[in-house]
Amino acid sequence: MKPKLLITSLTSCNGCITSIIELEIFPEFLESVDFIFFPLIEDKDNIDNCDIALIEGCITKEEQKEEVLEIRKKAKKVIALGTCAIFGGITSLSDEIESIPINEIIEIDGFIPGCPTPTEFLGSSLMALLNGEKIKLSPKNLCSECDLRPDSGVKSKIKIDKLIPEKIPFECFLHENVLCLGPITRAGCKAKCLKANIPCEGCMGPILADFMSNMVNFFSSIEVSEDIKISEEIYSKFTHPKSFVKTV
Amino acid sequence: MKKLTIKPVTRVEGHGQIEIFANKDEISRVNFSMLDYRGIEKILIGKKFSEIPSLVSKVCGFCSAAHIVASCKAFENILDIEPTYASTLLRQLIMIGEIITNHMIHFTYMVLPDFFNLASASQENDVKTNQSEIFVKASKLIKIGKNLVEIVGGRAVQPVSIIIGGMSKSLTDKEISLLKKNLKSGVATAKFFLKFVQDVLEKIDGTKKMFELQSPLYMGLQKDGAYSFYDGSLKITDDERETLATFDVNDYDEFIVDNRINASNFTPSRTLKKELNLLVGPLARYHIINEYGIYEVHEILKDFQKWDKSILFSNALRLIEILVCLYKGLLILDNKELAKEQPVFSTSSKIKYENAFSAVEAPRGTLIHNYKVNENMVVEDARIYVPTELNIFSIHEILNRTCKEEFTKNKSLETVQETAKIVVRSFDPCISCSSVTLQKAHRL
Repeated sequence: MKPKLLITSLTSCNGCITSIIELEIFPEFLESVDFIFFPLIEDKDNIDNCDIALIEGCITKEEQKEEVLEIRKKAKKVIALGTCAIFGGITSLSDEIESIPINEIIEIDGFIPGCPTPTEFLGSSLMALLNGEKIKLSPKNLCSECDLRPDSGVKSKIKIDKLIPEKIPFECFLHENVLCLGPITRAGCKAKCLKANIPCEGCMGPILADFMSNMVNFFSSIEVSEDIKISEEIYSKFTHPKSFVKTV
Repeated sequence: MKKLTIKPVTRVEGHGQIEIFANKDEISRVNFSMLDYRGIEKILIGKKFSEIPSLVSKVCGFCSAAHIVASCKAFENILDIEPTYASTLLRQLIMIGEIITNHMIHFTYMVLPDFFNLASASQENDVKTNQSEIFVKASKLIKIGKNLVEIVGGRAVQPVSIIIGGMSKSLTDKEISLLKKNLKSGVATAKFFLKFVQDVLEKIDGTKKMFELQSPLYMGLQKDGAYSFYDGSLKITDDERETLATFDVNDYDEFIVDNRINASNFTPSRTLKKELNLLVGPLARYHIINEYGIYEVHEILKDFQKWDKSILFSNALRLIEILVCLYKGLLILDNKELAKEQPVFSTSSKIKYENAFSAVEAPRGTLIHNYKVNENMVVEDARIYVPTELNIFSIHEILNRTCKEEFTKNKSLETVQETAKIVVRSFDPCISCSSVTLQKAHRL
């Protein structure tokens, strides 16, 4: 019996689902599962009983609340796919709409963070789910995957006055005065942005263990210039404020 | 009066719905509406402009590179700086990768089942070749596009290396030769799909008239009359290929007006000041250019000419563009300037103009970004005009006409529903993109 899968999207950019379709294993994946609902590529339009439900996006409408409640009833396992589903995501920055992570409405059985979910991590997570295993989330921060010399306990405060570097970084972005959220962000993405000389924006979300103390340590070690202080959201671009409390 | 609602419209990016209003004898109206609102335009207001490329990459998971490039180009206009020639080549490589993946995903997973159905309706079942073989071939092309975005852009979806002023990452010689090998291997597969779509179109020749657009105005970016997705000027032609306007994107407001429709649940749109429907996308690009710049492609196109007003032809043109992009990518990878490139980070921070536009061709059509900034480099206003929004009147025109014709012919609401979905999918609407802006608002 092929496992029955549901893949749906709430308020999102479809980037995590695109990442699934772009997986090299996608054609085999199509053969090895039975989609009961995947409106992006399938015509079946009923939410039915299934083994695994992957939900991308956050809740911004009443009918989406009903949809996730319905999915919870029908699915043996519900997985939050991507940062919007688990933390609220980019629309959390909106003053007009409220972005509710799905785990505020229903209980979830796991999550695959990332904005969008990083390819290799997504592939291995999906394979784990199909094998009845748990998704392996890294307990470490992104510095553990970064090739640049990680922050090694600087005594004085690091001054931050840039969001994008002005040259190729030779050591830790923070030491080059560029804001990088690597120290308080979960590893698992293979530090791809950093390898492209772009600092971490925190899209994988917080590491659950010791999150508050990590946060406090990090902010006490940096001093942000007035110039970029106006952009408060640079610290929590992907995170609905409420979800901090819920998931920690 | 009976109302039929198709919700969700499957095999379409994002959440859309089609409503069909029918009397006993006729269809009175068909409406396509987009149900998402994410308000990214508003989110951008008050942000430092260096944050914008990353924020707009979240507009759409399919065509994020087009949004990132469009925003960077607009801010380069504001600062009056030019990225290096090699930077522009790297950006084009990323856009090529995105065009290949977007078009191939759309063709394989969204359109192909419709083609099979149309063909089987005309009792020509033999086009239904081995579906899993098709998926494997398609995934090969998707992989080529994805690797291109990932290697040049840093990651596969929402690339990060495109920054205001240049590129944060260049290519190594090893990467260049790997990409060349990849792109070369895609050419035969792209031709396989073109032959395949040609066979299918032959078999559904009878439906040609039904899916033809009625005198739309085609708009797209072009450079000296040739296919261009990165830079050039905008051109508008009628369906006789007569040029009505050629203009710089900074004069956009002179030519296109906001035409947001109040108290209606379909997404507001902008059209030309004349009461004609605008069309952007592969079919429009085909009509506004004189050449794709690849001789071989024009030979192939000769076989398709009779379809050139049909929206179904867009599906073949997406494959043509994949082939063009593979060849163009190879030309760029052979360019000696590319290997010389070192990452270029912008250092300029002087504002020359407070307000600037930019245009690129996203996979689904012309994409316009417009920003107004203050002296602190903070965004005061942002407008993002996405292809699907520009197309909305054309979508409605052909949707209503074909559904009405179909009902007159067959009196079956079921086939009308199928027809409606085929039409909508041929436009490859991107509802995530369309959710950037507020529905029901006026901004004239």
